[in-house]
Amino acid sequence: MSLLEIKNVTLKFGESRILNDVSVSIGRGEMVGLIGPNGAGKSSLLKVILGLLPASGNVHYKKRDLKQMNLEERASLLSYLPQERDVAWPLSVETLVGLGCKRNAFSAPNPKDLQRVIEAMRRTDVRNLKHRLVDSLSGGERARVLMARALAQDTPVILADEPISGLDPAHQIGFMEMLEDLAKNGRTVLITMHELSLAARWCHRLVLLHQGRVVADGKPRNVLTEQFLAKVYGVSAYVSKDQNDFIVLPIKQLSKKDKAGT
Amino acid sequence: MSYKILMGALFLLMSLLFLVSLLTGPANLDVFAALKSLTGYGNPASILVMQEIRLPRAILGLMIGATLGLSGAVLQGYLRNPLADPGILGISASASLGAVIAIYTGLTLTLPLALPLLAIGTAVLAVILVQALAGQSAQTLTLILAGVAITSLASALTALALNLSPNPFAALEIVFWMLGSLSDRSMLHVLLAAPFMIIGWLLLSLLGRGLDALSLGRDVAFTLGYSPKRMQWLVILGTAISVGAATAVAGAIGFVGLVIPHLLRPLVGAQPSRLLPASAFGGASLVLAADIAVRLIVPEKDLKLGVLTAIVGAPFFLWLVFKTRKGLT
Repeated sequence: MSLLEIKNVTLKFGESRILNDVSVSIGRGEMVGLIGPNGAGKSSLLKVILGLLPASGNVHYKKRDLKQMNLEERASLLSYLPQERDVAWPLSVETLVGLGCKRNAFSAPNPKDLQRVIEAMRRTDVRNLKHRLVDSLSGGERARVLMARALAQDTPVILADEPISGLDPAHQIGFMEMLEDLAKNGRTVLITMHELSLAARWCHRLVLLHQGRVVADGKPRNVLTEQFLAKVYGVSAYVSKDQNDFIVLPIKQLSKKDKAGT
Repeated sequence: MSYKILMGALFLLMSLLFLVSLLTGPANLDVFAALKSLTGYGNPASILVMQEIRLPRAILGLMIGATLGLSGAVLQGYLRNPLADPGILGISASASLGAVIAIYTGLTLTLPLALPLLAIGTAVLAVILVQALAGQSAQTLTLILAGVAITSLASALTALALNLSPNPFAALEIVFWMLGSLSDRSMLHVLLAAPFMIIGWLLLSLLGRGLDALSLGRDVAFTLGYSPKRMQWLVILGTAISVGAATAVAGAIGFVGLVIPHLLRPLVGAQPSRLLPASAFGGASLVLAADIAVRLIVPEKDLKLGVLTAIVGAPFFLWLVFKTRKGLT
């Protein structure tokens, strides 16, 4: 059964269509990778789901239209990790993660909220940083701390916009493992990404966007084919045939002539 | 725990300065006689001094300082920028313009309430204009330029009013009034401004958690359940009503809203919601202290409060710009 149902979403900026009749249905506990070249509409789709951009079409959560819900209710269902990792003030890590919980600023956090913050910091492995200030963290640490903030919101669905871009390979793999673990525990994860090999390895399912349209949706092996990669990204790629070790490695940019031949 | 201690210390400091303010002035009253006169006992002259001169002055110092500190903290949190301040953004200058119009047209003679109302009205316009000019991202440079533009416009219109003034003495009076001062204010001024300042505080106090969420950006704040429209209106009305009323009775007192949140931010762990009440107490303490200082430094010269805060505050502003100039691209 689908948990999050995106139906016929179209987003226009003036004359250009950023998203064109996009329909995707996502089940509970799924980890879905949203891929596609720059400008394909990945981030815009996340923002439409969150209600940050007005679009035609519908997004339903358990058959209920998200547009009909108030902001508080939506905040209890969807959490968002944006691409930008800036934090305006030098907050402590613990305070920052606590922003995920809605509580009075002055009273001590209630035990349930405190538990959520501790649990979020455990999952993202940032407990040892809790007294550090955000602006003293490395890029990888900061990404995990911001993820912990989103987790502390304790929502069934997590939307993350390029959460692993700019991280080193070890942090990227660690981050994907953490997301996979969340999905295993029943959370639904929708992330946009450019790292095709990592998407192939960790996502249960990939949705390939091109010029605002869904051009492929399915198991990584069925989406990351040489044909689709040539058509959408304009690259030739090595795609392994090994059943247990699926590897995708973009090799070279195709010229217009090459593309015409595919 | 340390937050409670800090708040306690700031409250104590504010109360102490309030008391010192009551005891400072040219009339030579000892502590005991002064406090006795305040409650209405003692010789009529000292009762008059305490109740009609010093008490309104101290109350206004406290309330105006709290207003400036609080609105500075709110503006910095809302615009995610440590250089925001009602003075720098042109809100004070616009409120001054409104007040000058009220005084100049003689409206205040028939309707005293016109003074705060016109000041609030022009202040609302200024906040809306700042937001429109600075846009959603509120970059430091655009923000300061927006403030410069609005201040220039308000100053030009104020200058026009002075220019056209039929009575040179009235013009001089307006100029002195505009420098910002708490001297010679009466209980009427307190009654005119206090209710508006309190309404403004109440509106601003609703912003705490939303400002915390805004640390993570507008999009995240929205997905955490904070409506951008609601926050925007609370900021516009809260700052304009409280700063407008404060400026209407005391003129423009600059830099308090810039300096206080900046000094207190590290002490509250940089959390915007916690900075709000701390900045209110801190702002009140600073204005009370500055108002005591102007009476002690050159008692015979009537040094204006706004002049003193500007002399101390402007170099601070320069230092802040210098420190954050990496972000000015």
